Amino acid sequence: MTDDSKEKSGNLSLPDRAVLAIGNTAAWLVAVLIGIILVQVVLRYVFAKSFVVLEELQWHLYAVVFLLGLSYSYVKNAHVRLDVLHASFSRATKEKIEIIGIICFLWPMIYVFFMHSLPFVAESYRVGECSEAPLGLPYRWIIKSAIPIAFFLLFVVSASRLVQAVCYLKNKERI
Amino acid sequence: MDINGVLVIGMVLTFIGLLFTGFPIAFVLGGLAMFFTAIGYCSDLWLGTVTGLDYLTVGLVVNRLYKVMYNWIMIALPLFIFMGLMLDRSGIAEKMMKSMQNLFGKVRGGLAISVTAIGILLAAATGIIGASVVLLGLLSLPAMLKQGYSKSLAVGTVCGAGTLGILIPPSIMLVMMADQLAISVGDLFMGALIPGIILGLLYILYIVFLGIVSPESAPLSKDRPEIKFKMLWDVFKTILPTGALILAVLGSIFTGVATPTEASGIGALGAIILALINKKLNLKIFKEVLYDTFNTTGYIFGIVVGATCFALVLRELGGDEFIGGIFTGLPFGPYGIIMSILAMVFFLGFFLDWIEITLIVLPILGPVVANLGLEINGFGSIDNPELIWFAILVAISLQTSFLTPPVGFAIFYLKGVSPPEIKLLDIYKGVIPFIILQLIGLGVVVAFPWLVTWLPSVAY
Repeated sequence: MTDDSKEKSGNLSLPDRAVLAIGNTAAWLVAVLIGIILVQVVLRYVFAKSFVVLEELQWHLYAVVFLLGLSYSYVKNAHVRLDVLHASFSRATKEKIEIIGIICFLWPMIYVFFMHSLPFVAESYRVGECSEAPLGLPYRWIIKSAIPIAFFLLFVVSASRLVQAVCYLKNKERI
Repeated sequence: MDINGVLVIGMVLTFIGLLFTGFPIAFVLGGLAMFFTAIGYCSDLWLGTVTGLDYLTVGLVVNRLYKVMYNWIMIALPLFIFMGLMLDRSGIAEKMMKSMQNLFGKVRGGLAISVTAIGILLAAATGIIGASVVLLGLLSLPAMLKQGYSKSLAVGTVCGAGTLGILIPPSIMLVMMADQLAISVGDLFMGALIPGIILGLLYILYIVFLGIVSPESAPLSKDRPEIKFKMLWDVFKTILPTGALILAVLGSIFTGVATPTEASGIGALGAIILALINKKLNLKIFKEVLYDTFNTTGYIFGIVVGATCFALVLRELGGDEFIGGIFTGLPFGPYGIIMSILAMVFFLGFFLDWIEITLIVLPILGPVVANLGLEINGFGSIDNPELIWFAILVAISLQTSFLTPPVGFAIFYLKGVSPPEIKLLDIYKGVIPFIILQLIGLGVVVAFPWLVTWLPSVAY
């Protein structure tokens, strides 16, 4: 189901390249996450100490990883598709499905997440929300703002994909 | 039927229909949630119905998403994915294959048994079916065909052994199931262990049996070396590091020393060390594994995001009670209801990955099973034994479903990497005995629930 054999692997658009660059950088957060967990394990079992900050950093990192991964996987065309029929469609049909899907399904979802997450973040900032734990991380609004950022990036890559699909269909008409 | 029921059925049916367009499932789920919110809103406005759906309600998806972010259990997911991908690249499987091949050269079906054994070991380590099936296929199919194995036995073994990965802990599917059913990850891991081993043994028994009744389908290697003690030692040496890693990860969870998240971090480090020992680790590979992990996490959580929206709207419409009610109302008794649920899961497994099924079906049907009043012996020490047992049954059903023609995922993964002389029909024929073995395994676990619940009850 993870079809990486994307035809467009050669010349990526600028937004796509930007999201890939962001993703390739953010992927290192996985390594950081592994490191933090190991540090925490050592601290707890060897020195019998635990730091709330380390524990909270773990879910912050994990959340950023999967949220930014959403747009990255779309550029890589890795999002799971049922390709029983899809594989036998013509390229033009596939592009049409992509156009309709982006406009009718993906964008409404992005819109709802984006528009509702803005007040969500703003409220957190206004009340100065921080961790419930006394020694936890402050500034909850930072991690919460990963939501609108993630969906903005998803919008950017889907718009780029939409333009490609429309261009393909237009070029085909001309020939 | 009221409008809510109609909308619930409409949501489910349009979802299944739209799957076939091949648009990403994650976005179909999310988009449909928005679409049906709009329908509900309009019908409240103009038709005087009370669905209660509007722009504000659907905005709750942001809170739900934040709950997914703020989820301590799911942190383990990207790390187990990393561990699996790193082990795939560590060259450990090739080494095990080579040493076992030598040892089992004199045993009829020995090669297929080795593949099963490696499948079980790797299964414990990866838990992503696509990855295990592809790796096992690339590694062992050419060797088995060269030795003259029948095509169907060769491909059947790879598919069966490769899909065991979703069942044998530490599987990422079990982590997600535990989260959805609000049961302990450790209990579920332990519950899966004995059924997983039983299935592996069934595979091996079948291969041995086939070697006896139909020797031509599993011929012996022509240049088989004499068995020496050194070979046994070689096998031991190659299995030891992987075995130790798995023991460390599972052991630390089972004994309660580490949380699943900590264990996943240790597992990730262990995989890096194994790759380092095998001299397969360099910056390029490390980077590739990180990117792959990021990508895999991205698409898995894409479905989590989409399914979160879908489940929210379905719940607002009363879909949980509606669908739950359909199953509770079946006139088959508790076991009949369980069988109906498993049959549905099996069927859904043709179209859906384990992620969607875990996220949408389990939360709806978990309470149904919990309320059936089944007397599953938890030996007085584990919580919700019936849910753990049910989760394992769902896991086995899903695994069987991935093996089953015409559209099982494993079949297509394998077709993608097998040599051209293997036709789709060969794979179809090859998996049938393994499907039967799966059903036997499923039947055994249904009949003897203590196979699941006993180990978690004695562990702590």
